[in-house]
Amino acid sequence: MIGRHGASLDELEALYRSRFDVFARVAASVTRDSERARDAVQEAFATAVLKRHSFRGDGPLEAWVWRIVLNAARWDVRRSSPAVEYDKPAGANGHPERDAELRVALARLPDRQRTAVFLRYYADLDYAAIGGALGISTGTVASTLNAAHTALRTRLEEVRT
Amino acid sequence: MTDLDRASLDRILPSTAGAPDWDDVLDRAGARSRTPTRPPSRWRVVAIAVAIVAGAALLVTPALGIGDRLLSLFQGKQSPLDVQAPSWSPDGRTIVFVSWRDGNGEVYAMDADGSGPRNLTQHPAKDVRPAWSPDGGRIAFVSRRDGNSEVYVMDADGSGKRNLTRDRASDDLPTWSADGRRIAFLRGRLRRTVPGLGVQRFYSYHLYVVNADGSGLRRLTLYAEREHYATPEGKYPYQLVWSPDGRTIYFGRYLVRTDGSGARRLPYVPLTAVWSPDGRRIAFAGYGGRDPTEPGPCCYSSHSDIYVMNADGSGTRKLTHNARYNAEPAWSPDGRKIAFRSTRNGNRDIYVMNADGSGKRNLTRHPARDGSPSWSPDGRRIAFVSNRDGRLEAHVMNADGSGQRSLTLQER
Repeated sequence: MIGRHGASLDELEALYRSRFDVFARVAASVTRDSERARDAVQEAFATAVLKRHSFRGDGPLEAWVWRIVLNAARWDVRRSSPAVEYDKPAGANGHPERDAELRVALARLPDRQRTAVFLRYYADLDYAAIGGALGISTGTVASTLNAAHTALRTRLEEVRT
Repeated sequence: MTDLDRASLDRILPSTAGAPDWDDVLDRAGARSRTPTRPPSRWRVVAIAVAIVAGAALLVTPALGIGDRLLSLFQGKQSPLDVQAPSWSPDGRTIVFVSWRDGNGEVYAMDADGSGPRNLTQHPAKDVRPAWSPDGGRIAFVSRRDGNSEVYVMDADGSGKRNLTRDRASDDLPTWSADGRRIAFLRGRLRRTVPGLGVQRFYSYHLYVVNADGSGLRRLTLYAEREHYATPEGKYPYQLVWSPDGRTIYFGRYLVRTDGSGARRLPYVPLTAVWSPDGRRIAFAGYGGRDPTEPGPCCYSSHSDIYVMNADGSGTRKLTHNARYNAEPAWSPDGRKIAFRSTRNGNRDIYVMNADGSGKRNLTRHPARDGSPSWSPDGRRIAFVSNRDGRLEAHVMNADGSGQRSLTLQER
């Protein structure tokens, strides 16, 4: 990967097709609206298509695209008032109560921490890729996730005791 | 932190709104990259067209379609871009080609016996890419005589040259529709990007079509393609092939509808695409270690297989499976057989198979390199190119491989 220049349309299409759902849903954690998240992902990939030759290959392509996607989602939030609550959570299976607690706890995290959590535990990115996606160093990723863990643990223990 | 597993986050995150839609992504990209359209009043394009398509040409004259190789017989200085240039007139009596003997590209014509070469363009600017009209009366070509590449049309004797595409962009690869009423071409614009590491320059291409009477200049592609697909064949980024009914043009990795209603983007780049005589299928050679019938990025390698897909791009089927080099598919006039060249036995020979891939047979069985099969209109003979006599020359054989003989330029 070192020294490569540009991403191919094929690579972007493959990434899009294999990871669309993950992009759209994590983006929805930013826009808090799945319709607008989808729009942000579409716009972000259009941007990636147009700018693919400027991908420098100093990190994974996916991290580069994540950064564009998250920027598009944040831009969407900035230009319009965000929805107050996440719309229709995906599943009713599992543990409704604990899910609700976790959702509230996640919602209270600072944006960067919350996004880092989704990138790590839902999108399954490694620290380097998360760093690329968020534009921060790997060390900052670690401390951000650490802070998120601590905050989540504290909040969840609060509500469960 | 057992709560932070993928399953619980999966339950928490909102469900996705709608299915993925890559075409929509490309449309958005195209909408943003689109160059401003000029008002119609400035479309001073006049096109006269009657024409020929490589595929249609194959059905007209047995030797048609092998011009690429014939070029090397008489062209001394050869530029890679002009390898596609020579073509036979529909009546088979004349060959036009590009020559650099005058120091710049000129379109020449000569009799099919090699006599009487004549410079049709006669201009110090580069003139390339001659293409016959289907009736043989006119020749389209690309000239830089007005300062940049434009599509021109002239009479077959070189008179009456007219610029069809007065535009500052580079116009290239004029390709006549089978009915001779329209001409498709590529319009390329030089673009620059300034990524982190410096300025990149490249051409972005759009596919245009114009009616034979000069009306209706229209861009058919929404998204400007800027890839140059490197192939083992080397040559050329794009191939334009009209469907026999004129409704679709195969272009790069797109099947573009000529009524402007859209394009289908193929998940791979078919090469040397050939429409079946009835226009319902397309045979093509696909390069790569990966099967193009499966989605995903493709990585081209040194081998190639023959595929057939439906005219709408669906139903791709792989017809050869030997990890060798199979190329240059050619439909028999009845659409039931496909001739192709293959190295499946280690040496380049002409093969034929049924259109479903069954019944492959080696027709030439010769230690020399044979290629570029081309059926006679009655389907009884196949012309091909071979270096069996020491240099590349045209040969012909019966469709069962018997009666192979040389068909040199002098023989007529």
